[in-house]
Formats: sequence, C-alpha cells, structure tokens
Amino acid sequence: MTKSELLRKLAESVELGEPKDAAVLARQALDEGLDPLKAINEGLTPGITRLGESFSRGDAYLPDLILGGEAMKSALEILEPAMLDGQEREVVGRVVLGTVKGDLHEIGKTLVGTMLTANGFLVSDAGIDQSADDFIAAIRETDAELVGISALLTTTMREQKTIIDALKDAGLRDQVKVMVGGAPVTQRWADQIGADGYAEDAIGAIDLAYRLIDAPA
Amino acid sequence: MYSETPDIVAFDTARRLEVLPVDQIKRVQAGTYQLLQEVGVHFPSQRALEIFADHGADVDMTKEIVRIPPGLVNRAMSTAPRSFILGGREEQFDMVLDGSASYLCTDGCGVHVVDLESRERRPSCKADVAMMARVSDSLPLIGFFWPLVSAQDYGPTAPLHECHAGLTNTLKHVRGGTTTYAELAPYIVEMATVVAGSDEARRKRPPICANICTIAPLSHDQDGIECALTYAEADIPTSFMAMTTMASTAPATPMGALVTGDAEVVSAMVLIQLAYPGAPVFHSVLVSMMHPRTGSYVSDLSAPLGIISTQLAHAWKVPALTGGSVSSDASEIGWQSGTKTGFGSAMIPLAGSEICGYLGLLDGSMILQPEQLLLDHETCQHAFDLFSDYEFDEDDLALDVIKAVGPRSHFLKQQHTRRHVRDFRLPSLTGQRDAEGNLRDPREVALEEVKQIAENHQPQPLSKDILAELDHILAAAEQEAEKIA
Repeated sequence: MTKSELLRKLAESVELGEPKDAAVLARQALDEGLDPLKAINEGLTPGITRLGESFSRGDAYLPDLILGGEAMKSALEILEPAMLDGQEREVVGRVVLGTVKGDLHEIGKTLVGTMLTANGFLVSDAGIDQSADDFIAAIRETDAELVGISALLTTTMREQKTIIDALKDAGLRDQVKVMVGGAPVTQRWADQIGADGYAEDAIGAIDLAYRLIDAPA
Repeated sequence: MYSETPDIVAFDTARRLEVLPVDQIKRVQAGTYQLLQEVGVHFPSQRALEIFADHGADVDMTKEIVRIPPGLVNRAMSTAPRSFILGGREEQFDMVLDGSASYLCTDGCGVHVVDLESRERRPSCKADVAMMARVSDSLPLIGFFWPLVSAQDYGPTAPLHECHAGLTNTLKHVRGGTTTYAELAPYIVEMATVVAGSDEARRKRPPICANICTIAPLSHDQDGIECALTYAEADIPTSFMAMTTMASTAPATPMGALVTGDAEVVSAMVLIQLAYPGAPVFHSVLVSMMHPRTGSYVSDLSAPLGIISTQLAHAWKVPALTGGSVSSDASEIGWQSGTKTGFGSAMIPLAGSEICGYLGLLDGSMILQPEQLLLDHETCQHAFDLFSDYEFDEDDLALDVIKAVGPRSHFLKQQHTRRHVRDFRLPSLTGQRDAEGNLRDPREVALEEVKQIAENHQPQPLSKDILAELDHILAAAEQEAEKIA
C-alpha cells in the first residue's frame, strides 16, 4: 500500500468508525516508515473532520461520532508514543472533563468528550465520582484551559460549586474556563455558582467550548 | 373543617391487550435468565453479595458481580406475591394490586417548578410537594401520590421530607420511599409505622411504598439496594424501576432495552425474595431512547412498550408499575404535551398495568407546571369514559320520547331531556367562555382551577400526636444525616 493510500485508509477508518482497522493501519504506517505526525495530521484528522461535517449536515448520528472517536483514539495510542521529541499535534484547546464526587453518571460527559474530540479538542476524561482534588490534579497534569463539570443529581450538583471554589483556592481559576452541565443544571445555577457557561446538550457544549476559549468554531 | 377526599376511581383492565403472544414473552424471559446466569449484575453492596452467596448464586466478591442460575431465580420469584395492598390513610383509599384495576399515579420526581403565582421557573421545594399532594388528594383518578418534585430545600434528607409532605397532605397512598442514604431508610419506615398506627398495620396496609431505580446496564446503586432491603424487611412494597435508554444504556432495539431492564429488575426482586420471602415487590421497566443527534432523553416513543412491559411483569407473577403514561418530553404545555397525554391516557386501559399514568410533569419528568396535573387528569377522564362499559336500557333508547316528539320538532321541553341532560359528563376545562363570550384557553382555566384547589382543598389532617411524632422522626433523621455528612 502506498503512503497516500495508507493515509486515505486511516482517514476512512475514523470516518467509518472502525477502531480495529484504525489500530492495524496505524501500526502499518509506522512499519512502513510514515511520520506519525503526518499520519495524524493527514490521516486521522481529515477523517474526524469529515465525520464532524457529516454530523453537522445531519447525516451522522452520535453513535457514529463515538465510534469515530474510538477509532481515532486507538490509532493515536499507537502513533503518539512514536512521535519525535518536540513534535506535538495541533489541537483547538485542552479540556478536562469529569463527573463530580458521589455521582456515577457517565454518558453525558462521555458524549461531550467525544464531540469535543471530533472538533479538534484534546480531551482528558477524569472519569466519574471525581473530587475537587482530582479535577485540580487533572488540570495541572494536562495544562488544560477548559474544564467541564458534570452532575446529574440535585444532591450532587452542589459539588460543582465546591470544585469551582477549590479552583479559586488552588490559584487555577484564571487559567481555566469552567463549563457545567447535567440534567438538573440550569443557566441560573451556572451563574449562581460562578461557572463561565452552561449548555443543555452535547451540541451546545461544543459551541460553548469554542466560545469560552475564544477559538473560531 | 377539612375538605372531603373523593373516592378513588380506577380503570378496569378488562380491555387489556396482549401485544406479544405468550411464547414471545417467554423468549424475552429466557433472555433474562440467560443474562442473569451468564453476564450477571453488579451489586455494590456487601450485604446483598452475602445474601446471594448464602443462597448459592455465583458471586464474584471482588468485582461485585452476581450471576444467578435459573433455578435460583425461579425459587426466589415463587415467593413474590402476585397481589398486595397499597394502603391509604383510611381503607376506602386502599388500592388492591391484583391485576383487575389500573390506578393512576402522579409523575415524579422533577426538580424545577413553574411557580403558580410568579410563573417563573425555579428549583422545587417541600412546599411544592405539599401543595401538589393536596391538589392530588382532590382528584378522583389519582390513586397514588408520587411526590412530583424534590424537596431541594432539605439537602440530603429531601426524600424524607417528600415522604412527610405526602403523608401530611393527602389521605391517598404515598410513594414515600426512595433511594436515600441507607442509614436514613429506617426513618422512612418509622414514619410509615406512625401513620399506619402499628407495625402490624403497616405490614397489612402500608401507607407508603418505595421506588428504587436500577442503573442501566445491569447494575444497582449501593444505597438504593440497601434501602430496598430495609423497606422489604418492613413489608413496604418496593418497585424496582429500570429506565433503560435505547442506544446509550441499552441496545438500540426496543426488545434489547426491555430485556436489559427486565434482567435488572428481576435481579433486584430475586435479592429481596431471598432475603425476605413474600416481601411485596413490583416490576417496572420504562424504556426511553437517546436522541441520536443531541444525546437527550426521549420518552415519547411510538411503540407499545408499556404494554409489553406490563405483560413481562405479569409473566413474572408480580404487579406492574409501567403501562400507559401521559408524561411528556415537551418543555411547555402545548401540542406535543397534549398529543402525548391523549395517546398515553388511551394506553392506560389497554396496558392494564396496576400502577400507571404519571400525571403532572413535563420535559421528561423534570418540570412541574401545576396546571398540567389538571390537564392530564381531564384527559385521563376522557380515556376512562371512552373505555368504560357502555350499557343502556329502554329509557336510554328513548323510543317513546322520539315517537312523542316526531319529525321536525325538538326535545328541549321533554321531561326525559331534563332528566338525562346532566348524565353526560362534559369536559370541565374546555368549552369555557369568558365575559365576552370567547372560548377560553383550557390552560388558563386549568391554572385558575389549580390555584383554587391549592388554596381551598385541605384534606383531613393527621392527629396532633402523629404530627408531633413525625416531626420528631424528621429531627432525628436530620441529626443522622449530619453524622453521615
């Protein structure tokens, strides 16, 4: 397979949401001496971009995006460790996402993460049941400029405020913009606890993320 | 002086539909047996794991996964009662869950309220629960009060305050138990005992029941499952509710979502029967779908899943909490909510679930707009009338009157007309005219009516002694909650 064919197939594996194919092709790309950064920028990125465009047109659905994101992730796990020192892929912004302490809801946060990834953000998913300290550690580790805090219960949404307050105490509040979400969360609650933004669903979260980091959508 | 609580009116289930033939229902059950035996269910509770292990289930204590062989499922389910009573404060408000009647419940449990006076959307509080309990008390088709919204002004003890607001503001059965800290569940049992009058009376005619949601796919919540064990020990009936969402927490196929939910519910009922044989449980699988583009919750589905879910419950020989639902995804009162209420209410007698309806909330059970309860009630009344037995006698056929009037006249001056003109129930919220003679918007009429009920309907209060005891229990629960915090 020529290098251009490999790049095209890598793009296709992401666009069609085939994680196993993406991993095989990523290994093949390295075996055949393809620059991993080129494989990402000219293979994976066009694939996820086309998938994002397809979603915007209404042709692709969320499961298509999720599987596209999985395909991208499986290829990146092989390609990124092979990148040369100093090489770095371009990202729109760095985001930490997580669900608050005491709350085990995962899907909403994961959907937002997948859609942000499909839109070129570098997403670090801290997981569910995460304390303020966990969020702070993840933000420091990834040097994130945006954090998304999810809570699905009226009893756990107060934790969103706890985390925002902890970010202030840790001196990180000026570094990160905070977006909050979850079924009981409202714009009023977001304003009340000093978050920078709230979105009702995953699509709204993408627009919000672009706006908060001042990047062109 | 207090207001009279009208007798409860229940739907007859004689017109129940069987969407799936028996062999197909058995195929779904076979799927449940297979999932329970091969995949297992996550029970993050040491107490639950030990109960299963003691009875011979295959328990992985590290991963907290329980695999249940079919023989054990059958042995446990054989002790689950097919019928039991959900008690009202007085016997006339009891509901007998034996499959012959469908009782309507309010919807629960929302977190936002469109304020009755200011009309602004705000977080819900205990006073909203109390107000809606009184409104529900006045409506004959509501048999079962499910706190419509959360008492968010009480933090961790909110579920206890929701129970308290129900018990103190309606004579009807209250869904007073839910997932709370496991340490707080005994206080809910105590409240039920005080209102019932004794331990024995609570067991015989429990004034509250509980609802515990499973976590799809194939998981349970630690506090939820331990609360359920506490409720079962006290013979407080508990429904296990699976809310499987097609394409996210369940397969994208309706039957895949149903069998996932069925396995969750049955696993919990098996646990309860192993721990407390004969404890009353009911089955509830409510299938929704993830909106494939926004990820949001869609429960307005055009499929007879409430009927199939009822068939499944009855195949397991337990009562069902599912069936026709008027609860809508619409965020405002309008065409969408009206359509759902119309179709949902017509499903009630066709599904024949013992408890169903879910009246009063919008936006996927998130928002209370109080007048919606009256609009839903009115529509359910239409469904009730539509599906009631229709009998007539010679007087109804009125041939003598028609002969007497003959062609080209009218019936206005006939005694027969005067006698019967009130027989036919006209809707109370539609057809109303304002001072100028214009037809009024039924929403405005419903709002006016709900304000009137909220202000004037004061059901018989509990005795001072009981009220004091309930306050005492709540105070003790608050102290316990502080310790937990």
